[in-house]
Amino acid sequence: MVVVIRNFITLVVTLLVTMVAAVAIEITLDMYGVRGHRLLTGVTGTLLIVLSIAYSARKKKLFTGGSVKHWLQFHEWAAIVGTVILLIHTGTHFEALIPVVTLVLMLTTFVSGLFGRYLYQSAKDEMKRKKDRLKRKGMSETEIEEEMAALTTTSEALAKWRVIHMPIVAMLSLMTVYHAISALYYGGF
Amino acid sequence: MKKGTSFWFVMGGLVVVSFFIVGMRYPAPLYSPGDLASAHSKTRCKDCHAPFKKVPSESCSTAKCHPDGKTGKKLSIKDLHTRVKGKDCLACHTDHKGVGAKITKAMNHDTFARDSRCVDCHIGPKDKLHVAAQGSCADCHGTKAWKPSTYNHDKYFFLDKDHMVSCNKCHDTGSYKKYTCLNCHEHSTRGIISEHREEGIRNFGDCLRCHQVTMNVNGTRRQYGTPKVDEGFDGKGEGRRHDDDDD
Repeated sequence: MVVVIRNFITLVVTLLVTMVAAVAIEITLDMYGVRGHRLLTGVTGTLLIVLSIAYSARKKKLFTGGSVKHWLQFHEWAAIVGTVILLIHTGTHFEALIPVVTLVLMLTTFVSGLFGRYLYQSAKDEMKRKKDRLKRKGMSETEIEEEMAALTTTSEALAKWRVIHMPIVAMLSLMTVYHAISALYYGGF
Repeated sequence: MKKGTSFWFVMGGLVVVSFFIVGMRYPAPLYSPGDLASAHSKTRCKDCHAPFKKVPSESCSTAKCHPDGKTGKKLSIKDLHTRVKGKDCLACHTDHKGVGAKITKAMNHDTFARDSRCVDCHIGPKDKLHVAAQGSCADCHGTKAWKPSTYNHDKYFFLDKDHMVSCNKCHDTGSYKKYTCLNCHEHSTRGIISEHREEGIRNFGDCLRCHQVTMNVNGTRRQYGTPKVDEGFDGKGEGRRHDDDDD
């Protein structure tokens, strides 16, 4: 458990530093009058996050290429990199309400995602520990499987987390589309 | 899609529709990336913006705004807007940078031919310094901005934070060869006049001609002026502060 928490804290601190760096990059670009990066980072970051959703599709067996485990890793990394790129896109521009709401939803989804990852890791570790304990007790594979089925507490927590994570994702998707359309409406291509 | 997620998509849709309706009446708070310059404060979004296009120059040159590129400002460049007529206004101008922000971008001079002269476009200042100047504009000015000048004033006097004032504060006669310290530094004028007249000195505003001052220039001590008079300013006076001769 201590290892999980330590890893989680390391991840959060690393991400916070990366986020600050992303904002610093945008401030520097802005200082030198660079403008083209807004559209580029906006499109790239959004595409990465959209592509990361392929994990959900793979999990629901909408396609079968690659293992679910690898798709989960892709989901996590694409979402992290996409979010950092979108922070370069945002920088310190908090004037208009629509982009600000979209940013808040993105960061909420991001934090929620990190929390989900923590729950997932905890569930995995707990299962492994339980399995090892049962093996040491000399139980057979069948008995272990029966016991493991009873261990649903953390999985339930993951299911409950999804109930919160998915609505935020839904809101984020709609606000992203709205933000992109309104930005292109006023700013052009 | 699960029922719960569908519900949130519907809710999200309602939020988006609400924003859209509010945005039709009050678009600026929802979409504007920053306040407009004060001169544009009364313009509406649709006065300048065209759907899904960059702001067209025609929006700027309408009769009620800037016909023929006229801005109502005195320009330092000869016939500027006549020369660039028909060009993209946004190549040089921007907005949404704040009420008091500068909305003209720095001109990129790199595209000009090497033999171009500044005075082909720029109207030079008519003060005595500029009229009498013999060298090239580039001796004192860069192409990013006319002000501040890149003229090395430190050679004559270091402009530290206390001396960052407008040029004519010290050079109040229109000549940059003459200056006075007395527009800021308070003295008992009567005392100074009588003390200097006793010595036959009349241009005593030119303090550094006779006195010396030591200043801290980026960590190093540098002296300005001539120590003709062995009293007066800090750093040179023999135990006597400059303030002491105010009586």
